[in-house]
Amino acid sequence: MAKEKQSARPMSPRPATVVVRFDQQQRKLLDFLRAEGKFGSEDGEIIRGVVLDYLKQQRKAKR
Amino acid sequence: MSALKPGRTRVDLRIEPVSGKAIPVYKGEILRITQIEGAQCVDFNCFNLHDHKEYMAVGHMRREGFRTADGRLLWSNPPRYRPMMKIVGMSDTCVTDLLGARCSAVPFEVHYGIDDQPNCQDTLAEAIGEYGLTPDDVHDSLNFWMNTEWDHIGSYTVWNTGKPGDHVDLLALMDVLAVPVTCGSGNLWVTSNFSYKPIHVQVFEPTRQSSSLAEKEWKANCSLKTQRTPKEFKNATIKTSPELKPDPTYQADYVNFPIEWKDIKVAFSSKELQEIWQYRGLYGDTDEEVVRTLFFHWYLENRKKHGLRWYNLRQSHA
Repeated sequence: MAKEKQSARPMSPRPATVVVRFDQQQRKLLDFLRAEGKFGSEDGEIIRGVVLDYLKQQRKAKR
Repeated sequence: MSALKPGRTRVDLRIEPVSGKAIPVYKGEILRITQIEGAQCVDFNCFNLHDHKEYMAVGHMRREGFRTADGRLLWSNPPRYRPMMKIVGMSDTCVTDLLGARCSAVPFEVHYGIDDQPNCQDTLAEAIGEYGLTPDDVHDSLNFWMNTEWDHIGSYTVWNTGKPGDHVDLLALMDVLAVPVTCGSGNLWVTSNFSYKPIHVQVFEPTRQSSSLAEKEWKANCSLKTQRTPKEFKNATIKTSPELKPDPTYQADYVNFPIEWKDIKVAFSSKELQEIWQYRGLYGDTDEEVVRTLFFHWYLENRKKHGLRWYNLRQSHA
């Protein structure tokens, strides 16, 4: 199923907005990170910053 | 072994095969269980001496590992989840088990056709009967000198490695009713190498050092808002009638119910999205699932407090 969806996608995705649904408990973690200030103040900014940091960590771990 | 020098001996007992003893152990006291001949499995129950509805929660201790170890705590049942005792000394040849629950009469009738086999359920029930508790109050036991291993199917018991003189020291962090019993299955199963042996049980009075450690551990592990006791229960009345009937006036008050969702827009560049797509299939089928999962991977690896066992998401995929 996943493979079918993947193969249906273009090879180079265009910039996109991903809508992510968070419940109120999950948003508490965003509040903790907002208080830290490292990833910005908006929910979307924080999620984006965290995901990119995770990808960076993974790239580093693979090296 | 224990770095704590024990106080004066208050209780000194030899527990014969297929028997046990419920023993009050007060905060700061040390309960010592010693092998006399070796290789005798010891099943252990533990209750709050002042509230028997609080008892050792082996299932929750299992969350820290399938065995417990020297230095670990014996936790009570949620929502209390409080430290009851601390293992302050344990011989290397004492293998502990948190998987075996406790032996009971039924499997012996099934597997051997014997309907009067001594077993830990019945031995524990007899021992706690002295304090007005019933067979239903017996809980899953922490098993000392029970060499359990496990595979993809489940757990199984192997040769008991206990040696004469081996001992376990348990420091009481609250007043408890401690219940060590000699396992009743060890003559027909390998649990005690197919023969029963007696054990030696002692309780040592508190010393300044043991009292101080008990207080320190209690304070360090019993300060959370979520460690709730009956004074915080919505209904703290212990039900005495066995029949279950609905209360038509009852209103359930679930935590944070109903869940409130929020859709959050997250912008990614083409290059970023391409990298995110590498995780499709592994961490979800949609962009939303993948982004949320990557967020939580990061959070667990970078911000989760390592109170109990460190849970590694990547290992969970192995």
